[in-house]
Amino acid sequence: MNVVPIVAISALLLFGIGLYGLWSGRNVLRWILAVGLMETGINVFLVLTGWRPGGAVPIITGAFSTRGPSPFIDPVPSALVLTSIVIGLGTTTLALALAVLHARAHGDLECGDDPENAEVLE
Amino acid sequence: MSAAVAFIAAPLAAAFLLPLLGTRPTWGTRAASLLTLGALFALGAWMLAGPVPPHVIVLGGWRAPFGISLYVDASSLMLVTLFELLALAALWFQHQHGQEKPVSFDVLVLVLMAAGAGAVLTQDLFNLFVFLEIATVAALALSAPQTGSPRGVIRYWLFSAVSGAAMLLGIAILYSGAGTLNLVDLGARWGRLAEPVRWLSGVLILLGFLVKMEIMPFHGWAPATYRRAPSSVGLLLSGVVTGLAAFSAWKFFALVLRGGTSLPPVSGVFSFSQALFGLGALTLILGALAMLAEKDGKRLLAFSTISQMGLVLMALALGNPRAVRGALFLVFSHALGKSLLFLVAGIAVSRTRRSEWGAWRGLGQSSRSLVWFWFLGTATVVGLPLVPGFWGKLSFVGGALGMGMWGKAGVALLIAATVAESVALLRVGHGLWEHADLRKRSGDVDETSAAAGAAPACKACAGVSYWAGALAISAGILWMGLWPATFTRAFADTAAAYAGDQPVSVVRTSTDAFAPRRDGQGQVKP
Amino acid sequence: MNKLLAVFVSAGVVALLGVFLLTGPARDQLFSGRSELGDAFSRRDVRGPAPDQVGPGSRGLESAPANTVTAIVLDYRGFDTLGEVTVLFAAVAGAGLVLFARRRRGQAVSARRPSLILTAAAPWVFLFLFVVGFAIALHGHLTPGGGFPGGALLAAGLVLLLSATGREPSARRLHLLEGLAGFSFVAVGVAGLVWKGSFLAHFGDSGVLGDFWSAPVTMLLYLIIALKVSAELANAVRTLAHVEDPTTKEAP
Repeated sequence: MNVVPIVAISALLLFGIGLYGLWSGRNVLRWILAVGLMETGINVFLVLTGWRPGGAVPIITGAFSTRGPSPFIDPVPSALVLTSIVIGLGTTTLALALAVLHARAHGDLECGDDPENAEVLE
Repeated sequence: MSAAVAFIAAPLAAAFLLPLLGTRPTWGTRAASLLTLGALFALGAWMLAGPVPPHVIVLGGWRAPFGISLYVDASSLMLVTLFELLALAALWFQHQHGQEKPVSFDVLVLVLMAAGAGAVLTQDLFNLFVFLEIATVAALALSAPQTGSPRGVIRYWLFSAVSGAAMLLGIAILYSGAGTLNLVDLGARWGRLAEPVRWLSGVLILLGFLVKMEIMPFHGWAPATYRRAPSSVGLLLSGVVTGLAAFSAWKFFALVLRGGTSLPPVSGVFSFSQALFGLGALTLILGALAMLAEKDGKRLLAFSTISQMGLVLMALALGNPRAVRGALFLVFSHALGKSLLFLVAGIAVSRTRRSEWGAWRGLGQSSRSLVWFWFLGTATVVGLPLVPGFWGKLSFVGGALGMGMWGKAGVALLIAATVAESVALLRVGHGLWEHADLRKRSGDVDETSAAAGAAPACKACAGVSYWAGALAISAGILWMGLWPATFTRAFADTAAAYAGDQPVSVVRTSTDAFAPRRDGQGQVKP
Repeated sequence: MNKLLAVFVSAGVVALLGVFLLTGPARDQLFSGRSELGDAFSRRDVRGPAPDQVGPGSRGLESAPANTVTAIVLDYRGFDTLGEVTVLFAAVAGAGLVLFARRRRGQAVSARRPSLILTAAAPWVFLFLFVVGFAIALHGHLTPGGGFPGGALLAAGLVLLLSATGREPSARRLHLLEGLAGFSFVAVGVAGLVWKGSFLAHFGDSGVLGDFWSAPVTMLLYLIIALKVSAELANAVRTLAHVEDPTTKEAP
């Protein structure tokens, strides 16, 4: 069975839900969740690009001939997605810290425009 | 030949070890971070003193399209050395004049240096993405204000997170179609990709670069972020982050999109280079006009950066060798000149605690050096003759005039924007220079800021410490402005190597090891 | 109104992407899952021709981990992983920097005593997480997993101890672990430069594919990553847990 359209559409839907979340509110926590959803969608898509019909998990557990076509799926996207997940984790950590900062400065998480005319420090 | 790896590995090692000295800043931690940066700057200067043959550094021992490789030539080394100089100035300034920051500040500056060097040198698209993300994370954390509203930084995070996601999606599509991640290899296969694949991946990946370059529809985060961030971080953002974004955008543009050769005629199909040229022109002129209307000194500097990056993007989009040379020159001159302006602004802010430039009036009376450095910075950014900005703009004009109507329109816009930008910057300089009495009489400054301006908020403001950084940058400006030949030659070589109109260059032959072992099964899709 | 616009915009973007990617010429070109790079990595013939048959027991391969994804992550594209480790490091250091100003005030994490169930179960669960975390990290070259999930499990154990005992892991020790682990990653890279002439090149006898004691540098790097990730995540939790409740505003 060809799984490509199903998985691709789910990935795009995740991406779209994230986009909707970004567009439809100003809450910082909502933005963080929305960006997380978008990143998840893209990660799913990235893994999908390595899929091939009948491809095996890219771990060598039995002997195979290196002369014929490779029996495995493309392992590169799986490796890239590991990196991208960790990067997403890192930026989320930082964004949460920024959200705390916002709550300290304004008492809530509704992120509007930067207030003018305030003291700044070096 | 692997010495250039030190620009990535050494700051990382120092950044990992620095927290071991404690979280509170001591003279030891400060000295350690400054010494690391100084040593890297010295290494760069030493490497540049001799001839720098362009070479490829293979990482992990895996040849080019499979593993990750770095491409080192004179201009990329110069750019990395410039980053180290800017970081030295910024860190020194923060230590002397800024609020006390924990050691993580120094750590993140070091991480930013590693990311800058990596993004400038790497020849792998995904690796480039990783380094851009590192730079973004470091820049975000550095520019977050500890007091006051972080809304600008949150917007910065939002823009960079979404554009980073878009870039990753673009890379995924591109990899799925072309089956490789090496920039040169991607360029070789770009023509074989289907039209929608090219469009989608190109637009999505360029989005990532444009946000980091602060190009007009995607610049919304920049003014508020610059205003709230310490001036030392503003210096790093406008010098290092935009610089590495511009250079890596050009790498992608020239190697993969093949915009490297020329701008297609206006009547032809709407192309990437035309779209980018248009965005750049919009950014150039609107940024300069926004400067005229801006009352806040730091936001004004932010708009100046935006406007300059618009010019750089225009020059890159034109893509002929002269324009590209001009773009590289502009990246350097803008970084140097804007650093001086940020140092002066930093002194002004630390004295008055205000960022409206109206409140800075008369500061130059007690310390003339502020005014001189401001004018030198202005001259560099605007491009008076004998400072580097002039050579950059001259080269851009030369390149643009050969490109027909588009180029002429670009030159006209450049002149208008330059006038607006000089007026805006000179107005601030004049304010600094004005006599304090004038300020009292004119009465256009409200009471609070005048009172704050009168209070001696900082003891050693124009002391040796500030001079050291500003003088080092001024020396760089004068050197580049008076003897531009070294730089011009390096930039021209780089432009030629990347543009691909020369049959043999190291950038392109770095993947040749690939050719002989293409066998039947290994062959990719047509 | 705003939400309606949001629905239309996001639906439009998704539809556009879907139409572009899943129809027409793009569909034929994308999603073939076949790339020269991936196949060369799977067959381990990047440097030169691989033996005709590769399988468990193969010796002298250019990259020994049986798990090809691990081979890519730590060997073929190890430089990316150094960057990845750095992103996490920078994010945690950045969170510390961002939340630095008030750190001194909010000393006590929580005034409430942890429940009996938590304190009684914590040591056992910690032991379990500790063992499984190290096992996953050390088997990264053979099975899915590796240093990042392993490190996350170790961090979960540390955080569990934190909440059960009410004491916190000392920041100094976490920094020590994190810093030394990060430095060792760079040091392994430099060792590759010294012995093999290329930064992050793997050195030493790669061993037999499929054995536990094979691919020594991969195991070492995953151990380093696990320690580093556990210290970093525990540190991140510690930093964020120290935040006072911002809604109950105290006088500045």
